[in-house]
Amino acid sequence: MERVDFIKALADELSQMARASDIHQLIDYYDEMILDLMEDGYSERAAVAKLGDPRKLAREACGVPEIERAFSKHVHPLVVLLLIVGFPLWGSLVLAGGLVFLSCYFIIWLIPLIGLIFGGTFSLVGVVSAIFSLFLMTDSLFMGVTQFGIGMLFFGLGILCLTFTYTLGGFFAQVTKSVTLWCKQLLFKKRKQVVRYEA
Amino acid sequence: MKLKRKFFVEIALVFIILGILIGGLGFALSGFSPQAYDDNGNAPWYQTFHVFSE
Repeated sequence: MERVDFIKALADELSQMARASDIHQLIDYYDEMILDLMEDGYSERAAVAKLGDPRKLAREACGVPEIERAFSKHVHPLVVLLLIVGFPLWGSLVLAGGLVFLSCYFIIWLIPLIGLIFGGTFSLVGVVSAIFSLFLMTDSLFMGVTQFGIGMLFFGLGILCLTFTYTLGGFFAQVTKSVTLWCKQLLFKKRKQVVRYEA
Repeated sequence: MKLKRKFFVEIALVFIILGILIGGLGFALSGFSPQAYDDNGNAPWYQTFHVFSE
């Protein structure tokens, strides 16, 4: 949020709770705070973000508490009946959605899995080729030396592949965790009703 | 435990470069002749690579 937007939002909130003379004082106060933070090296957005939510600030400044009231968990029996009757429809849709979501996870994790398979195979082929090249050298020196070189090359490629897979795996683990948390919050967040102060 | 990625990448690059050099040395020992690698399908079990030349 930009400084001007923040001031506008703050003025809007204060207009519902405070007198006109107080509004000017408070706005000047918070505007100066933003400017001070910017002088201290914060960017405009960072300074505004540091101050926090304008609504919360306005309530704190005016001493108005926010009362949060959870929605009633009581569900009407008719709604329950409709949910049961409509289950074949919404149940299959929810199941399909869940499976699509899961398949996205599988597809994403196939990338590091492929890297792991390639890395493991290359490393194994490299080691085996290098060991077997000792036998081959007794038959033909140039063939043995070539195989030893190819073995080393494959072993190096395998290590490179495994290192990138490890890095990629860490990144995907982070993404998976974030997406899962986001979905969890979206599905199971507590619904709240905010009772706001009316002047 | 954090993997030292830079270290492993360096090790891998060393192996790749050495592999290319030693492979090149083997090719030089053959007299730079791909035909020298042609085993007419009679490769021993411990030979893991094959060169097909026409």
